[in-house]
Amino acid sequence: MTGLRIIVCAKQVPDPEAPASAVDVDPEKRRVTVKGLMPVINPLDEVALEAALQIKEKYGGKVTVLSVGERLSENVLRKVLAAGADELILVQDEGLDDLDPYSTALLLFKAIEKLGTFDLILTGRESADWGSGQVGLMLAELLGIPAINWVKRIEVVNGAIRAAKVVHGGYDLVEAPLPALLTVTNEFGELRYVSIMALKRARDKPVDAWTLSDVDVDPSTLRKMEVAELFKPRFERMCTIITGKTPEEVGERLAVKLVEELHSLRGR
Amino acid sequence: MVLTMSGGVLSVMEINEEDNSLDNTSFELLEAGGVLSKEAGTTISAAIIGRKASHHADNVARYVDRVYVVEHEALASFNPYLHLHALEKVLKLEGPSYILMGHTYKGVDIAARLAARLKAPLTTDCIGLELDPQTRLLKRRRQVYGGAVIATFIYQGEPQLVTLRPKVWRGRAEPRQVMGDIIQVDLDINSSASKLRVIERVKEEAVRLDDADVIVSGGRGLGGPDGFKELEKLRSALAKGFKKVEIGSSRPPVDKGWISSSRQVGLTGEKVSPMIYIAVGISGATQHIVGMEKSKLVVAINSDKGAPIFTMADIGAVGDYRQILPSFIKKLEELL
Ligand SMILES: Cc1cc2nc3c(=O)[nH]c(=O)nc-3n(C[C@H](O)[C@H](O)[C@H](O)COP(=O)(O)OP(=O)(O)OC[C@H]3O[C@@H](n4cnc5c(N)ncnc54)[C@H](O)[C@@H]3O)c2cc1C
Repeated sequence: MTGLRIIVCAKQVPDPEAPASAVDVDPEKRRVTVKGLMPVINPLDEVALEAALQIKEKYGGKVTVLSVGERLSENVLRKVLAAGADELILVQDEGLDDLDPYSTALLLFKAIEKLGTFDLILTGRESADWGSGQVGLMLAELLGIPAINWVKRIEVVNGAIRAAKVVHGGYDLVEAPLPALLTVTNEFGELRYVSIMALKRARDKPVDAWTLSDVDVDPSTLRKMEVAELFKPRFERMCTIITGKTPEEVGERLAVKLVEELHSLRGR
Repeated sequence: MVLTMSGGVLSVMEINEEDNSLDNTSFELLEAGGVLSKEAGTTISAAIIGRKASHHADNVARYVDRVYVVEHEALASFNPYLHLHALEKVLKLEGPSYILMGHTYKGVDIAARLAARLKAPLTTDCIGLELDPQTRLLKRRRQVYGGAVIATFIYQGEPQLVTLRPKVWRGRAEPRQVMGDIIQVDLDINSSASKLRVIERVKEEAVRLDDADVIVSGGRGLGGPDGFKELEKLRSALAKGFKKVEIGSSRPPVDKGWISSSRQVGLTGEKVSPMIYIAVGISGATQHIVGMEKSKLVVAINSDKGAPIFTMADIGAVGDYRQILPSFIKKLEELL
């Protein structure tokens, strides 16, 4: 074997850094609508990709990124190739948006079966849109392989995975034989910088596009999320902006105002 | 498939491995489970899984009809496969229609695997739970899109499986007149039971932000780890006037290693509700807001007057924090 065969599952999501005002709900259709937002790769899946690239650099191997969805943007997802992934596979078809977590896992499972052998699967801890944080662990159950959740550090020791799994107030050092699946958490660190030049070069790299029939999935076996109700919470407060001729003055007045507010708060 | 939904509610207790204490999440699950079982007109049971689980049996039995105690040396550390194995034994005996777990590193780890095995619909991190009287299905409320939207899900399927966000329920479970039955469950653990090995637990800085009176939080705008030294000065100035003042953080400083992850406030971090929350160099992304919006008084210091944090603050100062903090700290020391 020459190095590790690594698969990263990456989801395309509306940019989570967009202001909350860009996100709206259609209560009748029970759908979230997102205005004028470029999709991005789910940030935590980018973290998983970074983990994969670091493992590849250290131990050798090949990194395949797998994404499923209804309307995937090749331009957006090609970033993974620019960052250093060797292969990008899209499973794209009608009705693949807003699947429930189990169906998403099932679809990934079928695609991975078609891909053949692998040593390691990495996913982000959760997605930025629906964020249920279940798909990785479910996928591992379907594959019948060990999974370690919320991983922030990874090593390969004697053909096994050794990972730091985030727990409250620290981490558990956990070992699992390969093949294994890890869900990676933000503490691992962000995806490396991807230059415009690298993005340009990635434009010519081939991308594999599959459909449901390619991965042998009957659409009727897939279930959507069952949303009964949607609304937008309001968080706004009235903000008093402290002014002053100099920053020093602003700082002082801020202190005065804070103590004032505090008194009225305690008085209540 | 015909759903009967005739089983009861099962709340899965959480034990802190370090000191074998019953985590407060457990009482929250007993509270939510108690309400649900009343609405559904069913029984409530609890599962306690751990090396010294029986220690808590009597206590938990005050709140439920049945307590299942699964005790085993191998449960001393948290191994999701062994805990799941133990829980599956309880499920065989009890056959619940509703399963409630905490949305903690343990609860999530077990629940998603269990959902896959049972093909049961799971909703994680719920902030609201109701019973639909007609269908007897759960209405599961949770934040989506980073907290910008709140969604209610209803899924067919049995058992109904949820993890509940800690501290949304207050942990005020109602004791019953009669103590519930205590049922000891034997666990056989052979070598195939676990797909992984827990080598050791490594403790890092463990802070509690949820009971702080004041939280001084820094974001990417601090520009580097040294920014937190400035915040520390502000923290100690405030510590003269308040019992517990803690440093908090948005996510980028955690990702960059400027500060430990136990201080992260937000969707994937702590949900806090101090008297005063001071956000320095934090833009106010929804994923951060949902962690601090319950603060009584919010102060924001940010160089960008258009930063969304100002729509979420009561008092704001626009400018470079390096220039504002010194006089702010000095004046506070005078006034507090
Ligand atoms: C699934 C998911 C979960 C997430 N969970 C969390 C979470 O739990 N907690 C969390 O915080 N985030 C979370 N995020 C990230 C979140 O979307 C934002 O990226 C993050 O909150 C931004 O952090 P920030 O405000 O520190 O940085 P930025 O958005 O970069 O803001 C920095 C701010 O600092 C200001 N600034 C710069 N220099 C100065 C200066 N000298 N003086 C004063 N102000 C200055 C800037 O004007 C800017 O407003 C999550 C994201 C996703 C996708």
